[in-house]
Amino acid sequence: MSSNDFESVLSKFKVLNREQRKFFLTALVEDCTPHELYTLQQNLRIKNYGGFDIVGTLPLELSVKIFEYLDCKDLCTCREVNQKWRSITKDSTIWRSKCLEMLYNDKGSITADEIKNIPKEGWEKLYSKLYRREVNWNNGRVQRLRFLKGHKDRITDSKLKGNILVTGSADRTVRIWNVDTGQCEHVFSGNVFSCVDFLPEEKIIAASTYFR
Amino acid sequence: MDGYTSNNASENETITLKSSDGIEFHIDTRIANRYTLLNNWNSGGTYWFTAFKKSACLPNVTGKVLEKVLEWCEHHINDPLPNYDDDDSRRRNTVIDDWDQNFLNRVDQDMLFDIILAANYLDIKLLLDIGCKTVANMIKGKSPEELRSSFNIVNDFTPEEEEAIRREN
Repeated sequence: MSSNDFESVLSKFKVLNREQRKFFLTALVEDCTPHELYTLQQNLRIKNYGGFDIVGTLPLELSVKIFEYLDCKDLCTCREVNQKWRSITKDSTIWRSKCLEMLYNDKGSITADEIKNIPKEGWEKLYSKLYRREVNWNNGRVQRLRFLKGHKDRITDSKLKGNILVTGSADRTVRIWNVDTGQCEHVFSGNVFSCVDFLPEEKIIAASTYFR
Repeated sequence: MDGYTSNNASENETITLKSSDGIEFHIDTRIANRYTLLNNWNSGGTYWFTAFKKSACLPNVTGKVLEKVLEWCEHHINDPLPNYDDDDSRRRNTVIDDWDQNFLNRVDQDMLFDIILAANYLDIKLLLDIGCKTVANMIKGKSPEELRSSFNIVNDFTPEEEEAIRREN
């Protein structure tokens, strides 16, 4: 059998559907010599079937390290495996790093001081709160609607950090809003703004316009 | 291991590691220098008491495992050293480079387990990371039942507990 034949069998196998693949494999096993079956068995062993509980046997700090690579959905599945795995998923280090990961691009919603004061057992709760927020956001499930009135033309860009919202508009203004009160706190005039960003703690706003 | 000793100049530049089952490995000091624990050999780390004779005993690592670990170290000898900033907010990804993937695909779960332990013990962070990522990849996307069967785990929850956890999730 030339390597070309081999390639073509392999590529044909790859395009089969699940049922066809199963059927093909069964037929293939039927056709194997005992020695080939032995090779197959060895390969399967390496492919981690019938292995042992690596996660539960490793020291806790290492199991935690493994779990830190999992997303929330997989972590929830791991909880259902057995008592041991469940106790590992309770480790606060995992939830702490999950929270920090989620807050990485969202420095505004929680301050550095607040993060320092979170008790060990608080991380999991915080994560579930953040997660729910994320899911709601992604599904466009609105909790509360509020109209901020002021701009006289279309909004070209907006940034929300904590309770501060900055918007740039084609009405030649940049506005700073307090989201809690709905009040516009500052108006800056300039030109037609294309994009805005700001650093809440340093009190710096950057805005760029379409025109020179 | 011939690669290290065949080079004449490296004669003084190797240190000897002895595995728990007494197998000796002569390793390039360039490898030793890359990793903290191996690097501390002359500052008197606990297990490196014999370091001044340029040899050291590793009571926790067997020859088979040490050989694998050193194979990995040898392949990565010229890689730039990653800097480990303690920024744990960085996004964790489970991408493993092809060579590493292939390297770990060739070992069984027992060996993977031993490699993770050895990498942790020898403080070889990058190898520890890819080991953990590999296990994480085995877990991803599986159902509890599939996880139990691939890790040979017995479900020790009572039906009530199971129900409670499902509600919690």
